[in-house]
Amino acid sequence: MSFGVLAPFIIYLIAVLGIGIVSMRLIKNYGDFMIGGRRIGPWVSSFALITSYMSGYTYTAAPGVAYSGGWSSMWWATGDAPGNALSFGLLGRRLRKFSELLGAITLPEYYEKRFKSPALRVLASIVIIITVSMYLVAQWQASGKLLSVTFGTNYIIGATIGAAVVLAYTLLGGYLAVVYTDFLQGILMYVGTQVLFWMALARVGGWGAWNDALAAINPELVTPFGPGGAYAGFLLAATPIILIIMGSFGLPHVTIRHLSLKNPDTARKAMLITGIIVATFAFAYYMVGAVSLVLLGGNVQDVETTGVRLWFEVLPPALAGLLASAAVASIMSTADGFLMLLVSTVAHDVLYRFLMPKAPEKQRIAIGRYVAAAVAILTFLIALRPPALVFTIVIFAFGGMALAFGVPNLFSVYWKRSTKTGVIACMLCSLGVYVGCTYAKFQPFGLQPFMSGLIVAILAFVIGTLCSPQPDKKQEELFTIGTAYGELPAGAAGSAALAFEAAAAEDVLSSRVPRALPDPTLAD
Amino acid sequence: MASNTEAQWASGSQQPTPKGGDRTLSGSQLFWSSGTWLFLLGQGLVIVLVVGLFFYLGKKEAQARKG
Repeated sequence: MSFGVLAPFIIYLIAVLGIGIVSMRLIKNYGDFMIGGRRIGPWVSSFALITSYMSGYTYTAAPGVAYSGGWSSMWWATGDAPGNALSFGLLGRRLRKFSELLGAITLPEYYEKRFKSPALRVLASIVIIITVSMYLVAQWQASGKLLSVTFGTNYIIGATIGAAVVLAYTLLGGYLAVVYTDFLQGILMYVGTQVLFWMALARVGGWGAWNDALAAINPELVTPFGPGGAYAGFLLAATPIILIIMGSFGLPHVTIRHLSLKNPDTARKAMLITGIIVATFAFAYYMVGAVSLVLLGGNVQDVETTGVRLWFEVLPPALAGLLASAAVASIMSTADGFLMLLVSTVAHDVLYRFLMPKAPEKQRIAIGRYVAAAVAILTFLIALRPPALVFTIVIFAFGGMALAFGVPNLFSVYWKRSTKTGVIACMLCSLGVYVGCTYAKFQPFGLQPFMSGLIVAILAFVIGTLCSPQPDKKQEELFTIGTAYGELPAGAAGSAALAFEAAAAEDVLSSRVPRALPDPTLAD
Repeated sequence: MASNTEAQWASGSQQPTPKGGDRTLSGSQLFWSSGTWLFLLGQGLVIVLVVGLFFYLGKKEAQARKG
């Protein structure tokens, strides 16, 4: 193992652990730990969203898809920039306002308060815990693959290092540690990937020589339809784009970034930064795989290691070490977001809300940390004998999150008539169809399981909503204020939360719904 | 060359006839003639859309502040 490769990597690991420790000192209350006290600016928010979204997929599965499919892999890359940017521009601005009006600091809490339904909070929490756990398996798996190729260790040691570092700094520093390390990681990922792609392209002989070499291997690698016509047909080509865009609207570890924005207008600035960065980034991190096909040849056994192998083919050791840091950064920045999501879901949505309403904040956070650590260890054990490729696991979990939350998130901030029945019907029906079609390998009318699920999600939401009573006047007022342009009126922040909690206190008194009385320390 | 991942993606659907794989053209010619360049145009259009939306939303926010 070269010291030149190892040194930048070790410096990077020390830096992220340092950020975790410094962030721990900045935490003054529960809101700081959960959503950074709603004071995150556009640059940090933008990088936090991008890095949380990109994950270990970026350096393993994405080059693997391009290694096999050439230019046709761009069907997957094309949805990244509009999805990430519009997630801020269309969803983030409104979700930020609603969450402040409602005093919500997690997505399940937002659903409960927006639709006055404790059941919805339970359902959202369950979906988050299951899908996040699946996604975590893929992250540890990607860590094992990357580090084993980079440092010549075995797969288990690679997966262990990744899991241990993420667990340490996330549980130390909470949300602040997550967003600040994400900012550092995002810069590293972007610069590292651009350097790799353009240096590799120069090694091949430039743009024309690269396409000529791809066509010499298989002409279909230079067409949008891909080898074997894998993307020939509207549905086959459009489904990856729609899946990726809906995922950007639905991934709970991504949409939590909207709740922490400094103010609603921060979303607009973050949208601009995100759109420009991702449009230039997504192309490079996919097409690295297509360049590696030319440089490495077509006989690499595990296609998901082609991106990593290219580092050592093209870059000097120190730069390869830096890129190893960037790649591990992509895993860490997603895994930390998931772990933080698990902590907040367990501590805030389950313990505080239902099981231990009177427990002190510190105790709830401590239990949340233990549960997140337990899930991390459990998923790590599953990753030791991975059930499928990173690509397969990530895309499956991604689709589930996109369906369960993407459609309800959008409808909840754009359709005044939306009701809890619509949300519950949407989540249950779409996930049922998606999981059922995937396992049964059933594709009605040639539709991929995700597309079947998406159609069912929209229908179930609309039908469920129209078949239930109209929202009450207060909910309609909330919608009007939440969707208006400009800052919130003075005194409006948290007002809907107070109204909600007063109603909930009445529920407790009349024993209709057991729940916690409002915790005054939760005010931001 | 179809990978296991792409095979999974397309599994269950009828495999259409491959298009654009003309062996008489060089890779550079194929890139332009098969419409692959549209991927790059798409990324450029996304940036234009985002910049446009940025100014549109900014205008709306400014109007709301004045109003």
